[in-house]
Amino acid sequence: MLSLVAKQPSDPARAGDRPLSGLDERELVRRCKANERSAHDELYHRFRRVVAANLYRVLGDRGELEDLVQEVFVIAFRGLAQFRHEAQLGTWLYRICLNVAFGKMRARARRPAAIAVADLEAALERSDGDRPESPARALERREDQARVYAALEKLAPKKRLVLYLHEIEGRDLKDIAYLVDSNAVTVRTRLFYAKREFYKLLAEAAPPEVP
Amino acid sequence: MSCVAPHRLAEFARGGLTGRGHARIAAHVDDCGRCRDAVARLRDAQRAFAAIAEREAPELRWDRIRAQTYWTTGSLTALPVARPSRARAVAAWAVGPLVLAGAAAAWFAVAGSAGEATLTDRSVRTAMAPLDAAADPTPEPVTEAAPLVGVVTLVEGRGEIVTAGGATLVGGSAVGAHRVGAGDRLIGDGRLAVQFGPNSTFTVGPRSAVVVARLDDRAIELVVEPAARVDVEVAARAPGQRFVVHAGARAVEVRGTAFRVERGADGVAVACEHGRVAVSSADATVELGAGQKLAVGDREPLLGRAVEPMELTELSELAAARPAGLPLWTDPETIFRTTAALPLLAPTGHAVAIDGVPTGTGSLWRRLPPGRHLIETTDPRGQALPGRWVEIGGEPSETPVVLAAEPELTATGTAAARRARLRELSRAIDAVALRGCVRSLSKQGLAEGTHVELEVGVSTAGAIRYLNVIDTDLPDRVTACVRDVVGRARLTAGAQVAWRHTITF
Repeated sequence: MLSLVAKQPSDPARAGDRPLSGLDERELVRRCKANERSAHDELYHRFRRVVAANLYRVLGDRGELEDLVQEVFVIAFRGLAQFRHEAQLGTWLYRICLNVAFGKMRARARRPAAIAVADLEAALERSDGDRPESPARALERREDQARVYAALEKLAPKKRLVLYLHEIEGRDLKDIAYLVDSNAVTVRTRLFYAKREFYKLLAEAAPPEVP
Repeated sequence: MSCVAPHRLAEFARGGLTGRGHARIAAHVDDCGRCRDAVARLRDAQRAFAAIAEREAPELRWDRIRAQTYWTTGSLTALPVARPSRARAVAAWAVGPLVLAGAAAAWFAVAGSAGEATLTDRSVRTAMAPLDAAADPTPEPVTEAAPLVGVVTLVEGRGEIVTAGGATLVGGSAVGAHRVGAGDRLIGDGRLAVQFGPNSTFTVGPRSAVVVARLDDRAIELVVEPAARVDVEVAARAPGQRFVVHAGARAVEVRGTAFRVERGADGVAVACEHGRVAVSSADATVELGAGQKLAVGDREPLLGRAVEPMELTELSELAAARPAGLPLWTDPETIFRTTAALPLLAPTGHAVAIDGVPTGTGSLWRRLPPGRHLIETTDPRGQALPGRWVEIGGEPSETPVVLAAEPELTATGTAAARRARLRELSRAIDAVALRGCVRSLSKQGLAEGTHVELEVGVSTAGAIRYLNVIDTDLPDRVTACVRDVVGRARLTAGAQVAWRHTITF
């Protein structure tokens, strides 16, 4: 069984309030397939932050994030009947996230949108408590992230996805092939061209226009 | 040595090269200032990778997302539809050809004897089949048709039902408690929605009247009165069950679709959102597909009338007006027993959304599953007001939930208080960051004279409760930056005020 561990824990704070929080994944899926509302609730609570974080990281901003999270869960609930436990539930959901993100990227490619600098700032503000740093350093970090997302934004969606998964998430070709529903050879070729394009953009990138 | 390709420099910067490869690039980078700069930039970017991979999800409106997800997937949890048994299926296979042969014989007999206009369009001819079935002289089965019951799910404004028995019910609570059946006359003040099966609902339009002529397991027939409108969403019907909307001399028949029938003073307009509908009269039948509309005068012939594609705005409007049903459907009595009524009082023109789903405008009455529901409203300008959670039980409630008439924060403060707050805000805004927002525009000489008009609401605690961009001539990215900088300003406790302010660069 393919297992790609989710990078973020689910919502532990409220786990105690939920009657099915202790349910194992197989049983949870079985109950969801039987249309048990409480099981749907539990699946949603267990994975909502992971799904949102995945979409947030891949796309780089929170524009329409709520709609996209909803889209992922609608697809998941409708498609659970086809889920055969060939991968972990989190991995299967991640695959849906990538598909939804891919659709969003294609839509953006047709109508380019600016990167939401405010979102990067919000992320930095949250990390301030963990690791105090100077305003200058925070600004640099924000600029670096903005530059990375600006370069990603210029790649074709398919290239962007494999590059993100390989270079930023550090996944291997086999995992990526599963996640983007392709084969490892295609992924390797796509990654080669994506890296050439991406690093050329980064190497030549002028300082980003962020305040 | 010529300059190194950036992706090789990235490998080098990451420390992914060893031996001779590493040494060659290191030597080149020492000599080449351009590559040295590129390596520095790539190292910075690679450091950002780790930060990006660790980014946490922002806080979202989780309950709203959940509610919307359940509304969208609600039909999943509906009771399974009984499927015909194998024996019945075999019987259908056996009887089917006989019925088809009979129908074909009847068709040729009618076409040959009557000598009426020949329809060459195959789709039109196909669409006639179910309508012609009504004129089939075959006697009806002796069994009685089982009546169906409609459940009122939404009453906008002051709805009214004149029952088959002659009683007049007025207002959401009275109308909502009524079991809709054949002979009832439904009058919408705003919209009035009735559900009679899973994903099967019709909505009487504002200031419209519709008579339920028939509501049973064989046929559902609605009669649209003059100057009235009805929106219909109907799931595939049981075998043999017809769904017809009569509008004057025209009849609109469907199997499974969403559409609108509007009867004007001297004609009928039909618009089909999805599925297919057949509009018929004595002279012909015309079929409409998804995204098509047809308008025909009462005195005009239907034969040869062309359908037209709908504009995108019309289609969006039709989709938005889709009847408001319940996500769950079992049987009417269970629905009456297990759902709850939610009367809402809101000012005219204020849009109301329940659980994130736009439901109507102004005061309304809605049937909902019991539990917590998120009620949101907007002001007449379309700006969202703070939402609130409402807990409803299984019992009908007569006490309406009153929604705010105006935003919580209005220009309640005195002019002096607003001036004081404005001065305080001006001091609190990070001027360097604000100038940074337009730095790139300034370099190109484009910033001068640009502006952002903001609507600012400040609470007594000094928190900026809302910050709306009313008008600007700056790009979105810069506007977002300005809004962000203003939003970070920290104010002290004081008067609760709201005002509009223009920042000019």
